Amino acid sequence: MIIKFSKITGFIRKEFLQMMRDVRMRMVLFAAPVIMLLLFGYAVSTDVKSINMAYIDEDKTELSRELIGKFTSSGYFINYAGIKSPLEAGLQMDSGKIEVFLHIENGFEKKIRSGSVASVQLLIDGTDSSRASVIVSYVNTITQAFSYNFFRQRVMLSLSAINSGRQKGGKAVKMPQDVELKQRVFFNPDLSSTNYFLPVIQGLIICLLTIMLTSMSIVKERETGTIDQIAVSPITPWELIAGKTIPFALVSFIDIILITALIVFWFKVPFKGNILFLMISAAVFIISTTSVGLFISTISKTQQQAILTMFFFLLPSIMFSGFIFPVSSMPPAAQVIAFVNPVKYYVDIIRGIFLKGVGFDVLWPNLTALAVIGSVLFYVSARRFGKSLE
Amino acid sequence: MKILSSAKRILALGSKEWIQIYRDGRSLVLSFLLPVIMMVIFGYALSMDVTHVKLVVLDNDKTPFSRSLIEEFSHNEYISVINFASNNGEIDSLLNGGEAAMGLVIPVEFEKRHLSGKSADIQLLVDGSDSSSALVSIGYVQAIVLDFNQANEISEMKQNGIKNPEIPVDIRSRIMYNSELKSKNFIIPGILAIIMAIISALITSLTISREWERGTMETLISTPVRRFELFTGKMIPYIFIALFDVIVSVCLGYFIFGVPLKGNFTELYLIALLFLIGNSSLGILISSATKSQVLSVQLSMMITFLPSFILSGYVFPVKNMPAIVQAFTYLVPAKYLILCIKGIALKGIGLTLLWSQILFLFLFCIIVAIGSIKYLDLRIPE
Repeated sequence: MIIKFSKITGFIRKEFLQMMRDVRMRMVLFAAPVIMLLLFGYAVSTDVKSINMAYIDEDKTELSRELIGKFTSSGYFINYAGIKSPLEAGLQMDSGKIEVFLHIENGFEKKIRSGSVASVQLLIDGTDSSRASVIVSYVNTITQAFSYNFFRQRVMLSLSAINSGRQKGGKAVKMPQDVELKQRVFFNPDLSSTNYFLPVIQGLIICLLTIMLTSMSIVKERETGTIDQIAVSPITPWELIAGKTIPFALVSFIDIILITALIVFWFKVPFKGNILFLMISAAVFIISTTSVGLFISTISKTQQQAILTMFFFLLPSIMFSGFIFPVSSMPPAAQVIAFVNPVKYYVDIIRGIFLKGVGFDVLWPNLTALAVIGSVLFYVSARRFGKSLE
Repeated sequence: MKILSSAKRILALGSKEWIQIYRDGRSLVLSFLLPVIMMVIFGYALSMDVTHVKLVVLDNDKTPFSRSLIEEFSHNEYISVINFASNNGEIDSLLNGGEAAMGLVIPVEFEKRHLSGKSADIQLLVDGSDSSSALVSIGYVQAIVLDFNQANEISEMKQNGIKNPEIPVDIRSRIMYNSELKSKNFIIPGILAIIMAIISALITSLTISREWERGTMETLISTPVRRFELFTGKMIPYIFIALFDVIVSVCLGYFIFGVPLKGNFTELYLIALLFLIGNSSLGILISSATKSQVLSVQLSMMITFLPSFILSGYVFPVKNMPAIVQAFTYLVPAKYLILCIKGIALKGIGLTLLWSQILFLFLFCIIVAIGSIKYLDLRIPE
């Protein structure tokens, strides 16, 4: 494993020039990541707001209006007017125009005031379970608070009836004090989903870019036979690997800096951690994804094979990264896949740095795992690559 | 006569393409099996259900009352009490390291204050990083505390021999289409669309550029083949492969993962066919525009993979996006396919409600197909 840097600088420069010569390649390398980030940056939000809601109020009393008002004034629901019958509401829900339908029947207020049970019907569109869960949570908070309010009134009424009926000097029954929940949200106090998803996009873009470029460019040389010419030249396999991977790795690193700057300055995602730690992690991450690309190139003869094989790596590494689907919700056997997935560790690191502002002291296990995976991948694929040249 | 010979040429091209796929064993296996394998793995593994939220409890009171409150948290599938902390710092470090998602702090003299009628506050510390999960988790805790309060009042009344009052409002919530709120029911249809989007555009994006790179394009040009025939012949084998994948994937979703299929399968299948034609045309367009396999792949990956994932409304609702990005989503065919699959599979609605999606898909198909036929360059570069 001898690398003479004087010898490979020329080789790297040639690779670099070859890469940069093509206008379209320059676009892929620099413009595409930026455009993707700008486009996706505005898109990655799962915030549950502007929920279209329709209601039918048959009761038309103070209380029924109060309940409806609790929904409309919460800021989450938008009134979808013009629904006349439950049947029509069902149809609008089918076509996706409304997500929540509230039906208050006649006698709502009367039943509440008279101490009996008033029932209210709510339909919630559950197609997107994730969004629906949040809607259910909003709806429950509103309706439960509404109902509980009257419940307490009822309790108080019967208690005071008892107390007044009791002889003087007797111990009065007190209304039990409620336990109150005070919540404090850490790390992302505005509960903005963009802060959670956006920083991670850099990991996805870089992963895509490095794996694709490395594997395809090497396989291309093999397909066209130019790799044999290099193989017979005095360059050793290790030098060839360095020459093939370093230019892409460098460009990806520049992309990461560019993207991070955009995320922080353009999208104004709060950055709480250490920039140096992020850069070190990014470098380690690039090494591991480049190695994946190298590995794919050693097991593929044609570019079509390379692309299919790549797909086989890429899709799971993004799905099992925790980017959207939390690793903790996966069954144990699937968590094993996440456990060897470099992207997962990088996602954790980015989120830790951006949102929590934690550094090496908390994230060292992730960085270590990333480094171990990266070096194992690099070693294995570099050896395979060397063999494939002989 | 003309049509016949044209059809002959298309068939010849198609079978040539098929032989090339067939010869390359791995490409054949991967393009047939990859979508299926992915469906199995993702269908099994991915979930967005917010269950077993990890809660760490700091009980500064240690009285029967505080324990009865904690008890309320330990018997449901939504929240798991994973740890008892002895001080605030411990909660902080568990939240920092991501080992716990919430912390519950019960203050000293909690029981005493409650019994003496003073306000007794408990504090919930929430890791808000993942805002959706955080909101749902907070909702769980609020519901538990409310139940706890209500139960206390009822038991207080019982002690005094009063019949407890009725709960004033009975909320009859019904969750439509996906009554158990299983995330698999929307994850799997979306995965199907994404895999189809990538596979169909990705593989076809190599077809024309490969001919150029290998130099066989010039031979093709010298034959009487016309642009339309080349386009159709190249596409047919891949459409068949993808249609096979659709059947297998839908069967997997239905039989293995229990995703309902309330609507009509034939309608679903025809929409998928339309989608595949559109996306494969896109692949051919990219391929003839770049004439290089590396670039084609890059481009088709960027145009299909991440947009199908992020701009299709799959996980990120389109209506949350600013207007200009919403305009872009009209260019993402996966958006229409996902809406149609969800509509047909979960809601059981048919063409009457989905016609606008189908129309858009159809327009996309026509425009891209015409574009890619126009763009096919059948001249030998000088």
